[in-house]
Amino acid sequence: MPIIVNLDVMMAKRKMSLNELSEKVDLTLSNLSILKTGKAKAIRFSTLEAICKALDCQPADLLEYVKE
Amino acid sequence: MKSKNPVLFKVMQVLCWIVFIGCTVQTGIILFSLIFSLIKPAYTNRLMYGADLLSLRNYDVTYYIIMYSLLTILCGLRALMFYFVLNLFLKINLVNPFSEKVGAIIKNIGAMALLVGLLAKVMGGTMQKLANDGVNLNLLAENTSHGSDYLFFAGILFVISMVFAKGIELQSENELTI
Repeated sequence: MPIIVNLDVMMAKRKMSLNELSEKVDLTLSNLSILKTGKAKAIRFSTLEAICKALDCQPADLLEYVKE
Repeated sequence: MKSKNPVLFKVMQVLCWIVFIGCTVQTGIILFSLIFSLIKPAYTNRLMYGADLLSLRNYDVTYYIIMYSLLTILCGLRALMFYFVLNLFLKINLVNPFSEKVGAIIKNIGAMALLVGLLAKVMGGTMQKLANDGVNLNLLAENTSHGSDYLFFAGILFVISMVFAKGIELQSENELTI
């Protein structure tokens, strides 16, 4: 998929585990896992906002476009 | 409406069970009657439901076997169709209804309805020809008179299965939307 989610990179930079992030953004572990493994088809702005707030980063830090 | 739906659902499920059992029993009776009438031709005028197929048998034994066999197949296909409908009731999840399994079952029901409709039409055409030759076919006529209804049902189910396929696509996309 051309859009890559660098959630694990940001989580490592902020030294945050998946459990912690899931509590902060109020998402289930399975949903976060879907996002982390690149299986998600879409992300809501509200979710993106919550993750950026929790990880103190910009959307561009999380999402990357790679040509196929 | 929220509390009525589960009740209606259960009622429909029970009705489908009754119809499925009825169709299966009917298929069994017709199959048994066919075999019995071939072994004991004397009873051809006293088959199940008081049917008299003696005139067809006297006209042509081959036609008799073919038409009676087709009738058995028709009843069997109807029973199979109701089996799929029962499967649908058992497998459908009303919270997330759009699944591949349910989509496949709906397609199967449509295919069965199409087969039943086509078979009934073919038998109806043959019976018309036999009736013109003076053969009495009351039992067959009763069971093959609704071919158009089944074809209409198959058409509706085809449209529903297309809508369902789109629903599956939308639901899976929604499930993978975080």
